[in-house]
Amino acid sequence: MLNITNYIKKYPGQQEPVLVISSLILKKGIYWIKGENGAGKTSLFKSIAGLITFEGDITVNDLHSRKQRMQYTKQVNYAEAEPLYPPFLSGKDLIDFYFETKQGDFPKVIFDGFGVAKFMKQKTATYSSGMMKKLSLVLAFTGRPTLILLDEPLIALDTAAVEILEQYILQSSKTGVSFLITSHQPLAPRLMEGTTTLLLQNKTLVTASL
Amino acid sequence: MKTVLRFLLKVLVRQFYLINAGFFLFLFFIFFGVINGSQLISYHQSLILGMIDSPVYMGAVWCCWFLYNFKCIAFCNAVISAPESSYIYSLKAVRLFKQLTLYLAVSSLQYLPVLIYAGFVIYMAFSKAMVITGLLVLTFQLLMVVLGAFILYFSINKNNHANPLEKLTGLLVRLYNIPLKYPAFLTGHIFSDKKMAFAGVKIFSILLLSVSFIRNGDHFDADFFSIFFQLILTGHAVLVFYCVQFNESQLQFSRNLPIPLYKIAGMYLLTFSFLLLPELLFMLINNHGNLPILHIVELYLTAIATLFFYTATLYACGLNMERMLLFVFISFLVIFFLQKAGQQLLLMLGILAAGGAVFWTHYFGFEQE
Repeated sequence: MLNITNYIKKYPGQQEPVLVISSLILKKGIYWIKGENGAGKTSLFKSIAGLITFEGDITVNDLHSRKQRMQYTKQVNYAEAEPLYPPFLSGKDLIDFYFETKQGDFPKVIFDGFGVAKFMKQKTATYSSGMMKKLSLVLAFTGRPTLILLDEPLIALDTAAVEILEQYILQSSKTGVSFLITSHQPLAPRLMEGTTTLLLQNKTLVTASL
Repeated sequence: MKTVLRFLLKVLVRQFYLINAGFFLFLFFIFFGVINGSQLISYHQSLILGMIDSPVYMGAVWCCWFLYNFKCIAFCNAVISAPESSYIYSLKAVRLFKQLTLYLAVSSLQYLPVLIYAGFVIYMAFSKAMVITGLLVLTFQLLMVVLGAFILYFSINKNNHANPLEKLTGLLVRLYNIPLKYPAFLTGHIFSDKKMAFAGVKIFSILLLSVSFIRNGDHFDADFFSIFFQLILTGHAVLVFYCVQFNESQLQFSRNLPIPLYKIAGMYLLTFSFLLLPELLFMLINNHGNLPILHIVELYLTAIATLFFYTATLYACGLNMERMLLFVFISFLVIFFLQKAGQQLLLMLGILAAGGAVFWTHYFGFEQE
C-alpha cells in the first residue's frame, strides 16, 4: 500500500535532516505512529500528503506522489492536527470544494454524527477548535481515499465525537482504507486491536510491534 | 505615550534596522563608499539633477522608494501577525489619535533613509525652480509615510466584528446564497483580509493614471504614461505577494487535492484580471482618443501577464521578499524598455510564456524559506 524509499526531509536553510527513512513498506491496515514532540510526525504526514517537498520517493498503491500527482492525491487524504482554513469561507464552501476535486463518496455517517450540518453555513472564522476539527475530519473522509492520514485526530473532539470517529475508522478499514494516525492520547482498545505501532525516534521510523 | 512609543521603536524600528543591517551597509557602500570623497557631493548633485530632469529616471527612483516602503510595511505585518506578538494587539485600547501618531512615528522612522535623501531632492527641485516636481516628490513621500501608518493601524486594529460593509456583503451572500468557488478564493482573501492594501494600491494607481489621462490629457505623453504604467504594476506586487502567501498558508491544504496546474495558474490569472479591472475601466473611460482601444486592452493583458510573472518568481525564490523585490525592479526596467519596441501583444505573450515556464517548473518544488 505505502512505499517510502530514500526519504530525507530537510527544511530550507537547515543542514541537518529532520527525518530519514531509507525504506518502508506498509501493507493495508491501521498504523499508530508514536513519537515525542518534534520527532517529525507532521513532517512525514505532510510529505506523504504532498504538502511539502522532500528527497526520495513515496508511492501509494504504486502511484508516485510526484509523477502521478493527480491520481495520487485522490488516493491520499490528510487531516491536520491544527487545521487552518480561510476565515471567509464557510464549511459548505470547503466541503463542496473537496467533493468537486476528490470526487467519489461523501462521508454522510461522520457528517451526520458530528452534526456538521448545523454549522457548515457559517464562515470558518466563527468556528471553535472542535468545530474546525470536525470539519477537517469530514474533509479527510471525502472522496475515495485508500490512505487517510490523521494527525492528532482526537484533539478538541468531545467524547461522543471520539466514539463516532473510532467507529468510522474501523468501518472504513474493513472496506480497505488504510490509516496512519498520530496521537498522544491512547487509542480505544477496539481500535488498537490489529493496529501496528510505529515509533519515530532518532530521526527515523521503526516498527514497534507487528 | 512615551513608554508605548519606546516599546514600538524597540520592536518595530530597532529590529527593522538590526535585521536589515547588511542591506543598509550594502546601500551605503554603493551610494557613498565607492565614490571618491572629493567627488561625493557633485556625484549626488548630478544624480539628483538627473532625477528631476528625467521622468524615466524619476519613475525608476519612485519605484525603488515604493519597494522600500513595501519592505517596511511587510516587516511590520510579519511582526504583528507572528503568533508570539499577540501582546501588540493591546494597543487597540489606545485612543485613535494617539495610535495614529505612534504609527506615523514608526512609519517615518523606518522610512527615514528615503526621507533624508528625498529632502535633498526636494531642495534641489525648488532651487532649480521646478516647484511642481518638488511638490510631487513631497506628496509622494507624505503618501508613503501615511500609507505605512494606516496599514499598521488597520493591521493592529483588525477584529472579528463585521463592519457595515461586511454586514452588507454578508447579507447579500445570505440572500443570494453565493457559494465561493476555488477560482474566487484569492479574490475573497484580498477583499476579506487585505482590503486596506487593495485600497492603497488602487488609490496609488488611479492617482498615477489621473496624471496621465486627466491632468495631462491634452498633452498625453506616451513615455511618461509608460513609466506610470510600470509603477502601477510595481505597486500591485504587494497584492501578488499577499495572494501567494495566502495560497501557501491558509490554502496549503489544496496541495493535497487533485487540482491540475493549469487550474492553479488560471486562479491567479483570473484573480489578477479581476483586480486590474478598475485600471482598465479608468483608461477606457478617460481615454478621449489618446490611445487606441486595442492598445489599452493589450496593456491590460500585459498587466495581467506581468503580475503572473511576479507570482511565478515568488515561487522560484521561495516567497523571499528581498529577492522578489529585486526581480520586480529588474522586470520594471526590462519591460519598460521592451515596451518601447511597440510590440505590446508580443511582449505580453513573452511575459506570459516566461511566467508560465517559471511557474510550471517551480510550483510543486516550492517550500517557503
